[in-house]
Amino acid sequence: MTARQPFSAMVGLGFSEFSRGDIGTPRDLAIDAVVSAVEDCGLGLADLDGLLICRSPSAPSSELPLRLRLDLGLGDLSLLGDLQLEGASVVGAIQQASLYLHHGLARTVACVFSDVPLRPGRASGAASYNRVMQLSGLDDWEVQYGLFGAAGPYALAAQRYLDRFGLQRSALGGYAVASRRWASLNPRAMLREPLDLEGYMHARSIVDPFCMLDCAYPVNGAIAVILTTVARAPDLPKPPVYVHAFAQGHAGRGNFRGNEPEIEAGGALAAAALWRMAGVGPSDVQSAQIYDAFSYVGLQALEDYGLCPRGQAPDFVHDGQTSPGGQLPVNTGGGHLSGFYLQGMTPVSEAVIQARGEGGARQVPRNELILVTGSGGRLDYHAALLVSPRATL
Amino acid sequence: MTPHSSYTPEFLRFVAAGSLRYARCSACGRVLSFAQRLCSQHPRAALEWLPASGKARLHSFAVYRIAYGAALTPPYAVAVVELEEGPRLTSALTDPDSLRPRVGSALTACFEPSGRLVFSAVSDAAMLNPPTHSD
Repeated sequence: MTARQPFSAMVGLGFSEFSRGDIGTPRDLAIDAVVSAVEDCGLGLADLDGLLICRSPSAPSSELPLRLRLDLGLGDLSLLGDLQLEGASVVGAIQQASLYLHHGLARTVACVFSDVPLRPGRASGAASYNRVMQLSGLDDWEVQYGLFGAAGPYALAAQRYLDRFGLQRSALGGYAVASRRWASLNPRAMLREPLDLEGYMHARSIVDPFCMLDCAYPVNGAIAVILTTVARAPDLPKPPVYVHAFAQGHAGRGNFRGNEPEIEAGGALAAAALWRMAGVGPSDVQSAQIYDAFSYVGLQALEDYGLCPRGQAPDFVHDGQTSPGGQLPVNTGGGHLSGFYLQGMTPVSEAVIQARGEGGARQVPRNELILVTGSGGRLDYHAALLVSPRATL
Repeated sequence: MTPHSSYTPEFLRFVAAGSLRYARCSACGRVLSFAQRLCSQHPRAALEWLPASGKARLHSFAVYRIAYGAALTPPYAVAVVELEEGPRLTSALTDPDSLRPRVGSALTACFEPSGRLVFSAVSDAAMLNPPTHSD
């Protein structure tokens, strides 16, 4: 391990209300989250000199404009942006903020994500996420085949994986069950009633091999994180959560014979860079907070990061290794499936809570090296962090 | 040079004429994926559009069980097929059994009356030994 200084520290965390109903616009909720995060770290809005805004790729930028800085009455800023890396946006924003802080280009930066996918007139999550994803790369080609939403493209990836390793749909179920175990310990989680594999197998099919319990649970809400310099962090009231390493990985392998973009994705590239930067390896990771909008994405990430061997994530999870009491607690707030789907802020916020030791009934026993991932497109875009409550690893 | 805006329309013109084609670099002969708009080794070389054999393998599939507020009525399968020449394409399967396909199975390209490109199952033997004129 290295004695190098961390890049930055996450010192404030703020949540809006979460709801499946109408609680305001994305802009309303973003304001609420930033104010809460600033209060959490004992600072004022006047202390912010950076603001990075993240939104769902399916939401227009006009819903969360750069004018959010004026809404908040912020003063002169040295960093501002609307960072769009699809599901990897939030982790990407924390990386950008960390670089600015590390190089003395900013002192205190807010990163905020806000989304209102559930609105009157939209009957379901499917209705909120019915974009047609371009898998083959031909403009609008997929429309005629009905490849709507994100579940279909990810189901194609999951099916490829299941086939390669000779597995059935039930292999995905253990992941949903483990997520629910954690969610039952998280007061903020949306789905907390007990779930077993039998319950999973009886859930409504969405896009085979996925049933509804393989898919993220959408909510309306916003979360903000405040980052500051490593020098300043210890003076603030909450325990700092240090950012020790970060990396991105966007696999260039095309949809072409010989490539398996469904199974080996950008996470593996980011992983190699992360371990190099921090001087650690997969066996040093004590907990992982993974972007898992679908069960398969979580399983796939465990393998891309070498946290278990390729093809073995379903068994690893089914055996309880990632569950409460397991050797590698994963998505300890319930993740996207049972916790709440606020894209990259779901894993980031849980990492902050765990690193601070504020996890209550779900607090992990070992929190000194936490992996955080963000993932977007159909496994196309990937960003990750290593964080710790310790200033040196 | 309009490498992006002319690519999909060109592919679609061939499909409308009942021909499945793929792009190849005229300088090195490298076959491109359908997401590429140029050969990264020869970015200024023209693309050649060659007729595909129509032979393909099922790379993966997903079966939609719910409607996404669109024209297609569930259940229906979406397929990703790998053309013999290498590129992969999103498509649909024609077979009555298309809701229970098998990854890796042999397929051949065909066109529905509407002009939509789809794939139907063929025997593995047909893939390995294509019919010839002496048959």
